Amino acid sequence: MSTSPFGTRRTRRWIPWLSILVPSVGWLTFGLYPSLATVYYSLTEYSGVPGTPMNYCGLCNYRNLFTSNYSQVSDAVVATLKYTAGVTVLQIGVGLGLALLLQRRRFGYGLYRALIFMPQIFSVTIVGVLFSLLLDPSSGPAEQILHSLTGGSSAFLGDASVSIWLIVLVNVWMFSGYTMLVYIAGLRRIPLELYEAASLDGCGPIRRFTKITWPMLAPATTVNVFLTAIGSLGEYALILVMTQGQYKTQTIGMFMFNSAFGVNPDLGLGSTLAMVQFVFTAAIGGVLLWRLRRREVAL
Amino acid sequence: MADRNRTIRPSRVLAATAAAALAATGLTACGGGSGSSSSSTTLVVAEWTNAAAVQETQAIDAAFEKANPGVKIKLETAPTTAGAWPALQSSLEASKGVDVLAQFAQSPEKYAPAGSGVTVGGTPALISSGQLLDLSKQSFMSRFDSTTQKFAMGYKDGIYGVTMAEYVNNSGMFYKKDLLAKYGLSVPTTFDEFISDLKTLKSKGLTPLYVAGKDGIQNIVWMGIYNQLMMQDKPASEATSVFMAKDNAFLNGTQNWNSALYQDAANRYEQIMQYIEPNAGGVSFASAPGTWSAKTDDYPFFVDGSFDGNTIAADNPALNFGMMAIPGTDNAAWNRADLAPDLAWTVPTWSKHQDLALKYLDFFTQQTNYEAWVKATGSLSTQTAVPTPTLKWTDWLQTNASKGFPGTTLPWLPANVGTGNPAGGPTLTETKPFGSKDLLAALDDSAKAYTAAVKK
Repeated sequence: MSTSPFGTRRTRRWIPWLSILVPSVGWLTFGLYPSLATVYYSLTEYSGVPGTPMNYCGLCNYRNLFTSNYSQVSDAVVATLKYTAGVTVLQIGVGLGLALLLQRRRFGYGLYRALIFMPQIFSVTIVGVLFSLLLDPSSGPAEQILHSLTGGSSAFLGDASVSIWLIVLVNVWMFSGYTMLVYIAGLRRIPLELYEAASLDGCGPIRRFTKITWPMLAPATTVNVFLTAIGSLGEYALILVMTQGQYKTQTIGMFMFNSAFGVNPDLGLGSTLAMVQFVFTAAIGGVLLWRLRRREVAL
Repeated sequence: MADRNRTIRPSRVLAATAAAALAATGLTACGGGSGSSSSSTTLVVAEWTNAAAVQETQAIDAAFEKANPGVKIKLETAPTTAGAWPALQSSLEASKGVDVLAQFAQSPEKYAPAGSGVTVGGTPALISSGQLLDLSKQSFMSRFDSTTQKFAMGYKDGIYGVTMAEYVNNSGMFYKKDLLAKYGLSVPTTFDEFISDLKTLKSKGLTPLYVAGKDGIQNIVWMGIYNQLMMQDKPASEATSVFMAKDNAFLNGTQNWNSALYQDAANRYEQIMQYIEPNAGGVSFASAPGTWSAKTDDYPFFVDGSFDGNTIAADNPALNFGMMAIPGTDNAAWNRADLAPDLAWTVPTWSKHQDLALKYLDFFTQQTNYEAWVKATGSLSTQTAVPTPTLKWTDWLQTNASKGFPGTTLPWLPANVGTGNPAGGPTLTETKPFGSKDLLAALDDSAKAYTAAVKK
């Protein structure tokens, strides 16, 4: 009988099956089962309080989205789109700008990159509470700064016209470092010969950026746009801490959280909103990915 | 179902931070489990964060452990802000990992009749599905006022929790005595007097009214006024029948959010709101008591529940302040405090240590422990032998709280009416002065939404 670190020939046969079985059980338990349960809960009237009845009601929750809850759903869709567009555009812009500034291997640049990346590792809750305090119109410094600069004042997070944009800015502050790092990786893969040739042809910095840097960063842009947009479409944690969805900041994710886990939870409605969010994210994410990949090929 | 008459309990920033982190990351699912070993038994107790209440509970827990060698108490807490408390409660219920669970006290009105087609949620769902122990036969219940206990946690013939605390919630307002005295004003007793005081204070360059508008505390004014208008001079004992009649009227379509009473309340609310801090929409519930107490030369009035009284006193011990009910009507006798039965201890039927949990409640409610607890929390006493504590800010309450009435809840709504649905009443963060919508127009929207929500 042959010997090996993996046992006998007979036991070795089971190793691949075991390798598949363990992650499969994990996926079935923690991935597929909760997903299927969410689909089922969305077809029920169920408060989520253990021991209370769960009544199958077909598409009743979906119907309610377009009738009694229509105004909340439409407001949530608008808030989600604003939030996603704002975060994606700003984070890509800021991340790219920072990458262009800090891509060089010079003394001290590593420290700046680390400092800019640092908010990413902070807890969303800590960041949310911190900015809520900064933006408190009675006791926070933001009000004093605004007043000294413009003479005006603002309720900040309590003003529906600016509240969602303030949360967008906080999100961008937190996560631009990540976008920057992806872009820096992309920038370092661009052959220097391309820039040398362009310089010889008389290209200035703007043309070098538009004709070389931006097109060559297409794969990094795909990754950044896709990840940022998908993350923003499901966002609720930062909003939960900063406004709890008040003042026109209730995104679909926030609406789902409030419905499923709020003061009087309704897991049926919450699960229905989770399904809506899934479809919404899959549709927008799919279109984005398709467009970005086509752009990469075209370039 | 939205529950807007339940104003969020106090929480400090750090506590909110910690527990909201749990809620945001879903880690609350790992909440406490009750375990026992041969040498010790662990009793899991859970309550929402109210710094004073938690501190006093810990002191009583320590005394209980000392009196019962081998017993350990694990106290789980989470603030009511950012959905942390509901998340902790859900996880404890799902894991059956709690022995003594705090609940917000209810009212008989919470149980919609079977024919209404409205299903109950939250605590009433736990009670009506038989998951909380009937405490009515427990000896410690005799220490309490039976009417309050029955009103707050009664269902059919049982009482499913022992209601420890009662606060002036809706209609609650603090005032700075020295500022009123400085401008020659007395505590207003009617709506006209109140508006006149606000006008006078504004003319002196003050911002008369402070409110944590970011967290919707303006609801205290709105609901306080319409409750006073609804109750008028009726005795507190009629509150249940008055509110049940209101609920039935909503369901039958003879009353709605745009009925005359609510329009009257809306007009009064709007008049008062003309005098608030202009940026109150951004003021958070967590920071408001501290800010108000620190600013001794402005904000003479502060809309908030009496549960924050001791917090304010601790934030600025030198502040000379009092607590009163907002005078929302033209008749001084109608302007009573809207009382909210609050923390009620319950024992789940699936608790692994039911006998010990009952022993704990017996210990907790002993007179000396309860006296210390109400003093620390600033709560009105619900025990017959324990008077409401005399604190520096409770003079108005000492005289007037007994004239108050237990507050209303919202009309019956189907459970799947989502958060922010106007069927549960106007969202005041969207109406003037916090938003752009006119409150009377919002009442019309709410009336339409309610009709749509209950339409069979």
